[in-house]
Amino acid sequence: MGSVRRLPSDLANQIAAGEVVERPASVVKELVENALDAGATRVKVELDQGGVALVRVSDDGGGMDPDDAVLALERHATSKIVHKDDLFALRTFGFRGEALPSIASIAKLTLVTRPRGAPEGTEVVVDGGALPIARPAGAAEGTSVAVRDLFFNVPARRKFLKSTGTEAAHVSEALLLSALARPDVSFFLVRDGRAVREWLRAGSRGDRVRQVLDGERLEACVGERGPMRLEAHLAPPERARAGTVGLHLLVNGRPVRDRPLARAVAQAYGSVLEPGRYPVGVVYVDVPPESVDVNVHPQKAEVRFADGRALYDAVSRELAGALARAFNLPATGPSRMWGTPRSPVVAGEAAATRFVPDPGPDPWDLGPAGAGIGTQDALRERIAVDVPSEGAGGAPANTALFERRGFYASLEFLSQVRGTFLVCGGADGLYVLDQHAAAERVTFHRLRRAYEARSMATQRLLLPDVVELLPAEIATLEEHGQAVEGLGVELRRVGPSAVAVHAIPTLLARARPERIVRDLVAELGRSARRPFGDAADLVLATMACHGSIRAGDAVTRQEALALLRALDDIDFAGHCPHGRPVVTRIGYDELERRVGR
Amino acid sequence: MSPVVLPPRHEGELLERARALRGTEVPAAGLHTKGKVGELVERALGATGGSAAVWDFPELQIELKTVPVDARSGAPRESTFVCAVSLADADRAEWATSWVRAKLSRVLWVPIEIDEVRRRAVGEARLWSPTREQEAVLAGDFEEILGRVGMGDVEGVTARLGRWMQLRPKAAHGRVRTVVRGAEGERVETVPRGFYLRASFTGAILRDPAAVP
Repeated sequence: MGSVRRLPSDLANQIAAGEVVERPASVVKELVENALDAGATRVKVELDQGGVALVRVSDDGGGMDPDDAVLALERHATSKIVHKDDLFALRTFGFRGEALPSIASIAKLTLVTRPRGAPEGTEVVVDGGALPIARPAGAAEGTSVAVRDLFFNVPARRKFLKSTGTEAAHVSEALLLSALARPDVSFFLVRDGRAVREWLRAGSRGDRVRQVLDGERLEACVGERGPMRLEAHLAPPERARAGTVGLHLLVNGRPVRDRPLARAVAQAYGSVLEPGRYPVGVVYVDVPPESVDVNVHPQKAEVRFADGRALYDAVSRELAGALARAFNLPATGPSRMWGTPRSPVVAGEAAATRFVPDPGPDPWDLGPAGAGIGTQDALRERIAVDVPSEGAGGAPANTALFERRGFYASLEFLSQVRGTFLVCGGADGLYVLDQHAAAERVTFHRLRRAYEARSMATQRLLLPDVVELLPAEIATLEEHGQAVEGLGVELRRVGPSAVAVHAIPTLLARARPERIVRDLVAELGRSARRPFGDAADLVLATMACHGSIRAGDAVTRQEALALLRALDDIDFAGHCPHGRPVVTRIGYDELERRVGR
Repeated sequence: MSPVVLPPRHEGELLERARALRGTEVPAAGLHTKGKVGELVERALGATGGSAAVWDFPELQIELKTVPVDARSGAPRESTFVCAVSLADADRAEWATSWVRAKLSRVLWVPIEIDEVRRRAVGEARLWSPTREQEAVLAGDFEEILGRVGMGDVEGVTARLGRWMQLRPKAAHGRVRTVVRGAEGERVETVPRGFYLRASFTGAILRDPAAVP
């Protein structure tokens, strides 16, 4: 007899569980998705000890009759698809028929269910993949699944679990994603007997986002491009975080992890987000179901787009304009500004679901007679931007306030404080500027304008400054020689591991030439696989950072006044190029309140 | 700073000493640095823990907390620092074995009453241990806060998180940074943080040790 054997079903289920069930949050995700697919309007999740001791998910959905309740615990038994074509037009969260048997194979599972209108319910008990035991039971309409002692029979998996709090946080995150996916459903989370989350049914996606991200100042951006519909609720750049943990992405209502899509959203913020930082918020992307494959990941957390590149480009462009106005940011997305190849989403019947790259003229730049992205009015029709009034979101309105021309020049400069802040008096309060952020923004703006116009003024150095570099770094500089020259930096190689700096941009006369060269090398290295145009904003931002007044520098009255005037000349003065606010206001009413007037 | 008296031998002696200090005016001179009043009280009571990661009274396993309160209302004027947190170990931290639980298991509260002319006097001390209900809430806060850090969202943890206990920056100066891992293993530089008790909670238990505000 050969050594190849068919695995017993309980072992096969445990192997499947290895892919589907990683931690209590995976159990919650799968059970909540089952509840939603069963038509629930209320979903309650209860946890003990982070979900390791108990996860119970109860819903008021359709419930199951006794036969279905038992069959549901068999592998590849599902009510959600019938034919293979159904895989490409999925409307349900689940479809594999793997979750329940997988969970039952590595925990003690009790399922209690009663279909609507049925006189009695059914209880099915499975312990660690053993045969299900079913019996009639009293039950509420809907289904309740209790999962106890997760991984009790797989100790190797149990030791990979994190602390109670961390596991509970993952559960909370999983439920949050489900809540974002289905605003029409009420969700409740109870931890160790304490109600910790309650998101009641919401009227719209926007309402649900505001429920779950309570306290964030969010701007809503809604738009359409070809077959793609986009709805985003995003926070200002200063709220951005390292990594994508604060950015929730949903494709066709399904929460997904998609790094390129997250990057596309971050790119829409332009230079104000440093590499590796992502905004806080929620982005819904809706595309025809047949243009996205959800059957690429056991937990269905990842998807594959028919033409991802074009989709990401469209998302970036669509959001860039709306975010620019909402947060007073640079008004162009990186690819549009620097003229990288465009790849539009093609509308029309034949290509309704394909995203086709096209290096030609950008069809998204709608002309005057088109849907109107070229005009402000038409833009407003296409992209509704909801800017809440000051204080509505609980955070100071830091940008729109300072948009008014002449605003900064109207301030009365009072003093420099701690070598860091410029304190000014305004009509309605004290304005405190971060001197470095303000100067950096002005320098960045001027650098960028000069770079775009190919007219970067340079200052030649009397004696060239020699900078020691690695050969690979010199190769990078040489590879981008033309772009480096365009930035106003004149370099000549002197030996295998050094370059001589002969000229630097006049705007960066404060900066040490070596610093400028090292900034260039670092940013070019970081963006090695991208066209230089995409990285130019970041290069300029870094150069501006090191070439501007810094915290600790003494600022004269004349310099302060000049800086204020300069801020009025730029159209996005609310944030420094790295996303930090330039200025904050302390209202006189606030001061009066504090001193008890 | 060394104690001016020998450490107390038992809880009763500690409480007796603390109560004996009631009404003692704390001189303002030289006490501009935050924490100096606390150090004075520590010395007067015979605490030996100092700033080390042990209880202020290690033999008794009792922590001393001085709380500046409004002389008229008794309301605390600020939150109370409990202990620093190792953010890098957050994903393994359990309440039952945590240092914050150990510190809060037995606390000698000493209010410092501050009047309208900023005169400071020692108020009535009391020993406190959390009730079962109080500990459940504190454990919930601990797990909620460190859970978020443990899942890689340290930047998502704000002072608003936590019913009675919050996590806030705690460092010698603003430029100190520590490294934690983000949700996808990336390096995230952040400020060191510590657990603080909200003033609303300390105010409630100073009035009623079993309060569940």
